[in-house]
Amino acid sequence: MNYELTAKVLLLLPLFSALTILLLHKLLREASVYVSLGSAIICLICSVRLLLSPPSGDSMEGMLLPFLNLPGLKADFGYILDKQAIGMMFIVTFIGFLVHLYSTAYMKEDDARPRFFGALSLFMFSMTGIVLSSHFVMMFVFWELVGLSSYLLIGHWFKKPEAADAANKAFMTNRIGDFGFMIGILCVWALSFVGTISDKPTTTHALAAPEQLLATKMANSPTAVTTEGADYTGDIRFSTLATTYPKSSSSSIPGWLLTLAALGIFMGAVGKSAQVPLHVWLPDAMEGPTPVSALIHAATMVAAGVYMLVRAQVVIAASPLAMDVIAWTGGITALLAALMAVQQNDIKRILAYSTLSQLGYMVMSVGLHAGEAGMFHLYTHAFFKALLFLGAGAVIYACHHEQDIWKMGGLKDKTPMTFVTFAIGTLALMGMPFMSGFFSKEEILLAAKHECWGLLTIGVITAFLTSFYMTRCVVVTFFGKARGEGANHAHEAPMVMLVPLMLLAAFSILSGYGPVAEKLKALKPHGPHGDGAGLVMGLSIGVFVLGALAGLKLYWGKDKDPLNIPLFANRFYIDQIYAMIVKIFQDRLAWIVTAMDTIFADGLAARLPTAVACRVGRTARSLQSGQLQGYGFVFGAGLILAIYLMTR
Amino acid sequence: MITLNHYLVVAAMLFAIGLAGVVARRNILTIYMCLEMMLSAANLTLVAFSRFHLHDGLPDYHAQALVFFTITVAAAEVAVGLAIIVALYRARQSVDVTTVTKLQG
Amino acid sequence: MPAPLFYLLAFITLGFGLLVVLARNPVASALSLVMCFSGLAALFVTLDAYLIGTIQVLVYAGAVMVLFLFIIMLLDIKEEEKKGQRLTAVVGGMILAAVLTLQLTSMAGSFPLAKTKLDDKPLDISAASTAAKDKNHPLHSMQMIRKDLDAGKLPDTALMGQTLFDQYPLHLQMMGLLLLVGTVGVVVLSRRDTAKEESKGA
Repeated sequence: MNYELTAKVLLLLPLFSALTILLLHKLLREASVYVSLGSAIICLICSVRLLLSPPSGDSMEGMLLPFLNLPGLKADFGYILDKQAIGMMFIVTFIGFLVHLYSTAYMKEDDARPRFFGALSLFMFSMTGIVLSSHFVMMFVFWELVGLSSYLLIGHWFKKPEAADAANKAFMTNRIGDFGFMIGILCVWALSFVGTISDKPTTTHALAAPEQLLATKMANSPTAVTTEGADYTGDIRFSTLATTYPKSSSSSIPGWLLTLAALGIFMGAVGKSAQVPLHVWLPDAMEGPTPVSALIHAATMVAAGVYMLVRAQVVIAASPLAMDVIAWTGGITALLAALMAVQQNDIKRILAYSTLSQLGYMVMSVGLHAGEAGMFHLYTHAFFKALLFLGAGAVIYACHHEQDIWKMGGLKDKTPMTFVTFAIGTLALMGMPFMSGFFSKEEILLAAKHECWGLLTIGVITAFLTSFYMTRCVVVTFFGKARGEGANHAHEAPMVMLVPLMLLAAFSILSGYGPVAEKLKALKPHGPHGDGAGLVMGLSIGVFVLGALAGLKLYWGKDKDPLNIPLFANRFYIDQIYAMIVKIFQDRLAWIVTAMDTIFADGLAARLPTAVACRVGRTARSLQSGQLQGYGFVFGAGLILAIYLMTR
Repeated sequence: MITLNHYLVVAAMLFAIGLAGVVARRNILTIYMCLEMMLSAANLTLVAFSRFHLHDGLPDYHAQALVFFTITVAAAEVAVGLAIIVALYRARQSVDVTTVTKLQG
Repeated sequence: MPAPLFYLLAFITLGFGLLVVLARNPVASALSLVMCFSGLAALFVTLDAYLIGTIQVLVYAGAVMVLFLFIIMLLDIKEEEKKGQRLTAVVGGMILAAVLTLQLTSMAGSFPLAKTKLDDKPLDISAASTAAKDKNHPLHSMQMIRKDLDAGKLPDTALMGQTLFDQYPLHLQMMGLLLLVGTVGVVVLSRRDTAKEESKGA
């Protein structure tokens, strides 16, 4: 099997599809849907083949396209095919393909379908780019590209002001995270010099700070940078991080720099994976079409943060402080988002907060030195959350674009297939024993138990809340009687939409088991976590049952929400607080800018030249009197001057 | 005795008088006459130089040919200029140049 | 040439020239200019430029000035009012005239021939006659001119004609064209816009 060709196809085919649709959508019209779908199918076939016959030695690397080649930084577009990449690639292409298929039906009445599928292809390109990335710079490039395609897709219905605002919000919030990511990458780059130099004891001890190391290294001779160390000197490749990156702070490397690098990298993940405090964009992103929410804002893109953190595990592991920050950020996100989900009424928003909560789990597990557990949860979560979103899409479709769960109800008879698959996804998410979510969640909780009791508590509470709000969601949506016009006339979604649901439902169950899980598991198991597995298993089953019972008890047969907790419903007022902070800063900034504007722009830059020009103009104007005699006088004076100059 | 210098001084004074008239007077016809005067002053210098630069004992007729041309051009110019003055008068009912300030910036 | 004659002619020329500028009545100005040009023509004659002098009288003092007077009468131009006369213009004009005169006068003395007396440099017609005998001389083939020269007379008009037609034929034709263009221009300028007039009348 030609791995390089496969990698190229995976990366470039979606790009080709996106460009074709972009350039020829007028010509292709309906056909652009099939262009996009075709590229998704081929990508899926490629990644399945990769999954079935992975490269020997579990990892291989290669070059795709020369990009940057500077002294001290060689960053060509390359690919890396290891277990993590192949597993993630399967998720991306599989769910991507199903979403493409689902969208052909879901978006049938949309006039802008070519644009939608073009953006979808662009997203596939960007996402495969992230997955294949062999180093930080390439990942950053595609990182930005997914941001762009996410922006395009959230704002697909840009005529709706909410959608346009949500797209802007997502993009800007991600900017903050990406800025930190960039700082992190620069730090990693600088530190990688230290890693290579520290092999040579002569230079290491003479210098204290990596900046100085870098400076002297650059100053000594630029040729040394390129020739020394064979090909890479300033190394940002993932594959060599383990050997070149400093393991922990030593005399030559200050701890704060390692922490800065780790937190910078983590900040990128905070933005992309919507962790507190940058989580605000994800719920709003639900304004996009539902298949997009399933693909981008549940299964793949938001998980890219976790994927990246696991890739850069060496970097973050070098700083214990950063690890704690990451674990607690994840834990707090998980808990807060679960609390917010309890009081949401919009079916997609419930799922969005649930996604936030599960992403919090994954991040927490990365912070707990259990990246492989995080990745495993990422995989299982991708299946059942995509299933839930697509199921929600089918429900919304069935109820004629009604999204409020209190206006649904009694759908289990009208849309049986949707109900069954949605229920499977819900059970998987709740962590019912023998479903995939159970296994992955348990691994995370196990890791938490070993590292920190506080986080275990948070994890367990979150699991309880998850069980509770998902029960609420299902009970209110599918049981009871129809409470809205849309629900009265609900009808089952077409087969094209149901097939993806069934496939995903199958994977939601299977992905926790034997061969499938083994294929997908990114990394080698972290080693036995020792005992306590029984305790954790007991706990998670306990909270699952408790949450489900509480949900059933509270919501069975109810027509409106018996609970009313404004704090949760209003999402802890975080959006409002942000708006206030932004407003205060904006006012201050506006004041300063106004002052600057009045003094510099208006005063020095505009008024002063204007005044000078006016004066000069007025003076010059008086010369232009229009009086013939005046001109005669000037002519005579000029004549005299000319004669004077000639006879001088 | 009369030298070339005498003629040149007369020409210079005539030219200066003409220039003074152009600058000082407001009647456009007078100004025009003064212009003709300046032109004639220039002709005088040409003729004077031609008389003093003898070729084989004869005046320099090239200079006089130039004077001939100058007078011809001046005649044409007077005709056109007077037509313009007439047109101006029709438009403004005045020949006072101080009222003609269309070129004022 | 007797010096008093020159001074008389110069006085006439300059004095009437000054009157042109000073006279308030345009008719007086025009008539003064006639006198000024006549004096100038006489000065040309003292310089042995008989044809130019004649043309000056015919074209300038005659045709052009008649044209001026005609226009003055046609437009019925009154005396210039005194009140509008601006002091600055007058002073400016005077200063300009004074400076220019001084400048040109001081410059005139510096020419190589400036101090040459007119009587010290008479026309030498016999020399011209001798020179014309040379086969390469432009006047060699001009029988009439040579006859006059041999007879000791100055064939001024013939010489002028010879110069113009022999050496400046193209320029002469261009002059003709210029006069034609001038004529057409005058017609265009002075033609009333009949269509406009009619529409106004109707």
